[in-house]
Amino acid sequence: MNRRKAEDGLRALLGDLSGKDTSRLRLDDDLVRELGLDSLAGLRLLAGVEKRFDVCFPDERLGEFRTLKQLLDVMAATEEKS
Amino acid sequence: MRIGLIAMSGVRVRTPELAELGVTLPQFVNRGKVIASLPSLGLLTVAGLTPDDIDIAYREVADVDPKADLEVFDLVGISSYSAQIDEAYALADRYRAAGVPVVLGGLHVSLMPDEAASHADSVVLYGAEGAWPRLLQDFRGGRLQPRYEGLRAGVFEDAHYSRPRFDLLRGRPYNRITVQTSRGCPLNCGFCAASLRITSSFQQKSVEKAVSEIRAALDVTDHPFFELADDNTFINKRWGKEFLRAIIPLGINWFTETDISVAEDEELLDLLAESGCRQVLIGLESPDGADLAGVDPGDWKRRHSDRYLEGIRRIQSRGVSVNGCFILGLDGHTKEIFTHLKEFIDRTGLLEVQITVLTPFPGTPLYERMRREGVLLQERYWDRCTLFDVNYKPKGMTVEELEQGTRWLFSEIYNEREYTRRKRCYMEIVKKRL
Repeated sequence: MNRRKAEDGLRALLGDLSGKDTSRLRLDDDLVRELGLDSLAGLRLLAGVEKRFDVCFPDERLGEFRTLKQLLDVMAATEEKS
Repeated sequence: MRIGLIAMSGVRVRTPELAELGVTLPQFVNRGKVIASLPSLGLLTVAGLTPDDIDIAYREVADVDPKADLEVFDLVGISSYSAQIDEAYALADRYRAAGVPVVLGGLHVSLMPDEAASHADSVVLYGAEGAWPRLLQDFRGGRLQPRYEGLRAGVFEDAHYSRPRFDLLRGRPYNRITVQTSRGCPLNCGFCAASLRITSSFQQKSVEKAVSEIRAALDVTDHPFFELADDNTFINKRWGKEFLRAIIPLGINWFTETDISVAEDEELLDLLAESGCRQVLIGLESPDGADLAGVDPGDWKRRHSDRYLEGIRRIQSRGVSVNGCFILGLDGHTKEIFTHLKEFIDRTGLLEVQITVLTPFPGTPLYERMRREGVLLQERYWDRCTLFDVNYKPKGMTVEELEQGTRWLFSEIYNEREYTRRKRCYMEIVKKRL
């Protein structure tokens, strides 16, 4: 999947989860601060990304993903490995 | 007139070894920190019951600097928990020495009013409804009474109800905002020192009142996460479903405390998920029914303990995580409980776990029983009512065994590796639901 398509999918997922408009979200914006995602919503987001994009975030880094860019980087790395 | 309402709710742990663990295992005191960072709904309610012509200053104090200058008020109201009550008394004494009249209220004061009275011009017992408006009237007339008793029933009826002043929170960085939909819990566990101690029976707000409070709180915060400050929100399942349907359009995320019976109602579970419930905290207390005998007068928890595993699975399958609470040092617990509980937690798939030590809070049935049995370690130990410090001789082990076993279990449960494992377990459950 190309990065643009992945980004669009992520924005849609974030919109579903937060109920907020994510179209103006910048790649480096802190999702917790901008969308008010709490830690539980963060886990739900990661679970949603894993399922929808068939990727797997490393367990030891589950707490590190706070921006769209970080999520996209891991998705790209996972895709490269497979 | 200017009234200062001061909430004192810092996190406290007295045993040095435990305090050290709290630093190295941050999750150990996480829930305590969340609670300490919540606004004081009791004082916001007091503010709501105050006539508009009186200026209210709402303050939260985690740690009092005894040398700092006192903010000047015409009257001060202070509320605190047992663990910090001596600090609250010290602050009250300073204000009184400075000529400022002091009113003390809250759960501890309601349960120990005679003790509190020696540090206050007036004490308010039970809820502020039915007491605070009279107190203010008397204060204005120069005839403040030493004691006022608030209502224990009918507290949410129109004649007594006033919406908490959420506007006083505007501009403050809260992670969570509290709203109360009910007071009390019919299970009436002997150790419980929550709002059931200030009510004569279960008190529930109308759905309209509860929703209107959430709407008011929404006005003062950008990213609200609501914590329902209830003892047990879904006692009345029909009310619960009506409430959940009403908050779906608000698009909020929220947390509450309830019991395992929510897992038995599929419609309620679906509504919990749909309405944005992110976590329910459930007092499971102990893995085995035998240890739960007598915990509540109706033995409700003992009778429902065989449903824990399936109940947790059903709730979490909706994407609503469960914060399972366990108490160490119950009468039936021996030193085997620590490894047994660790194994049980591993099997549950719980995302979050809250482990505390049985604590005889003053004024509770548990406290009265332990006092009669002569097992309390000290006569007055309020500063150690932290939920982590041991204050009595347990029946099935020594004090040292309970302390050491607790520390061992904290290290096993609250380390990063275990929390990561629980997070992954929760994510896999959520994925099945998506």
